[in-house]
Amino acid sequence: MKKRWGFASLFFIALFFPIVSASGVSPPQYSVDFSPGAKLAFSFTFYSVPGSQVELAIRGDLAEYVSLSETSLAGTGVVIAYLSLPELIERPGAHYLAVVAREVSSTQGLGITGEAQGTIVVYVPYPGVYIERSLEVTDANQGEPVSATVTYTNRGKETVSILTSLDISQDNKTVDTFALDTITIAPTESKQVSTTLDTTSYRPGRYIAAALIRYGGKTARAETMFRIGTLFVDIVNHSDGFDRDKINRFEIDVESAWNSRISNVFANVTILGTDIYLLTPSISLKPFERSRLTGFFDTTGIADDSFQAKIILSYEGAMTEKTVELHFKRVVNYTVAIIIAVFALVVLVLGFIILRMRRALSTKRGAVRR
Amino acid sequence: MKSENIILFIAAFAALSALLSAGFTYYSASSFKEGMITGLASQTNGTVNITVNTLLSINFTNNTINWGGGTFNAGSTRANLTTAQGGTVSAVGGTWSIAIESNGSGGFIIENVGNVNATLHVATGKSAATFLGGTTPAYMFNVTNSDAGSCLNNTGGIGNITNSASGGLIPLGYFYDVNTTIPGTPICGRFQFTDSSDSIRIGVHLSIPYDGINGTLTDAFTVLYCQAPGPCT
Repeated sequence: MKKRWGFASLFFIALFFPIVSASGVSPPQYSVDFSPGAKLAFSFTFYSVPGSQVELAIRGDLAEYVSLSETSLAGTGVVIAYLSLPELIERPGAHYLAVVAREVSSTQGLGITGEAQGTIVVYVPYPGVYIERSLEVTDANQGEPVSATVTYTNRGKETVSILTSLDISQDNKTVDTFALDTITIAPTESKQVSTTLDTTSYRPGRYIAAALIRYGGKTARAETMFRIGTLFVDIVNHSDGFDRDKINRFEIDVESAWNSRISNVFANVTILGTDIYLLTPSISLKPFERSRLTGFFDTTGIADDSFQAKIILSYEGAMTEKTVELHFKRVVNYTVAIIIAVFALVVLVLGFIILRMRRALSTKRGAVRR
Repeated sequence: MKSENIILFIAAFAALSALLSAGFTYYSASSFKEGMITGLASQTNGTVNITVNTLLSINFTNNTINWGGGTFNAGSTRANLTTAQGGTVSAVGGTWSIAIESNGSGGFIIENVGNVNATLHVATGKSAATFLGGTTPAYMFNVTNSDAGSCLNNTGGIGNITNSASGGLIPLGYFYDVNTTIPGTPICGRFQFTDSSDSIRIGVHLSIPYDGINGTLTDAFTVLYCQAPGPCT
């Protein structure tokens, strides 16, 4: 390829950085309730590569009330953030204060660096009644108990009583309803209500748990998904489009429907109508995990463009069978295509020449008649 | 011959002693377990105290993208340089090298190595104009999952929220203009820490105009991260 130096630009895009960097902060977050005039201290350990220069900064709408024990760090170090809260914060809700540690880059080029943020969340109570809620429901295997917990935090200024009912549904049909204990929460307080679901009559699959909450004349809802497992590994996808007369890679995507670890999962794939088969190495699947099994097989001896294979997954004494349709890749025969194209071109050119000759002949005859 | 017999005798004696010692050790251990520990249990429960600290930490397993030096092809007024997942980069309209990277990852690779989910924002020090200069330069980035399901939205769902006036997340896979305003563009509401889904990739696209800035170009991407759900401040 011929290249000319069209422009005398010498660009050098060097994306260099000195080291593979890693950074972090522990603990990453503190949460406090607003208390007028309170003086608090929060310790953060910032992790960085030894010898690196780390700059510290404070950000957030309460930054003016914070001072730091350090202004910079050399590598890993501890920073204490001293927070002196004012007598009044007008805006209720969560206020985020960030203590940020940024690695200083001294090298030229374009690279990437981390900025770890330690966060202090200051909750200022809302006037009246304000509840934060979250619902957690554990996964389980069929017949095993499921634990459901609703966590409430009172972010308002008034003590409140909360009534909770729990609705379990599958495919938009209610399966179960439970009334949970009524609780009373004082401002800034957090409480949990829990129940255990008997899943003996539950079919395996996905369920929606919805907590319907009534408090202080208001209603609210919190919902989450949970799964009831069964000892089953599904074949969710597989390779297709293979090369002829070669050793081909065959991948099988599998997904566990079991809420426990399944060891020794492997597949035996037989090409139907032949004596070709493959056996994959074993893998382990975590609860509800999706993973891939890989094996190899030789397509020599398979004549048809499409063929069938039987996949048998074996695990924990159980099996999943599936017969699938597989295909060879379509091979374009370029030689034939070129011959046809050349032939078509020749026909076209000949046709054009004949047409021109006829026209010339008829023009000549006309001139002779005149 | 005589000395060989002596050695043989010593060896046989050593083997016999070892066998006897093993038997004695086994017997002693069994006896110790059954009878030699005595006493009155005043408390039937034992307590183990353990504190597990939360750690928010990320690692850049690839922090370089290097196209090397280059010029524009004859007649080209622009060169487009793009990283792509799978370890390749392309340079169209210029002589910049391709795929010169520390590990061929096709972009910056970020891994969550902590034990909490993180919220991520990305900012750069320079804009397209200040980094590349010239006529209509482009300086863009995209985010893709290196491990499936690593980058989730704020509610833990798959698929990000379209970048909107409400400050949502950018969708995965699409190139967006870089952002120089702190805290940057939010890219992952919930960057997972679980081993099988804890790695994302940031790709870069540059469109360099012929009349841009010459020489060595310098800039840094900054990944601001905080405990999920954010927002980072």
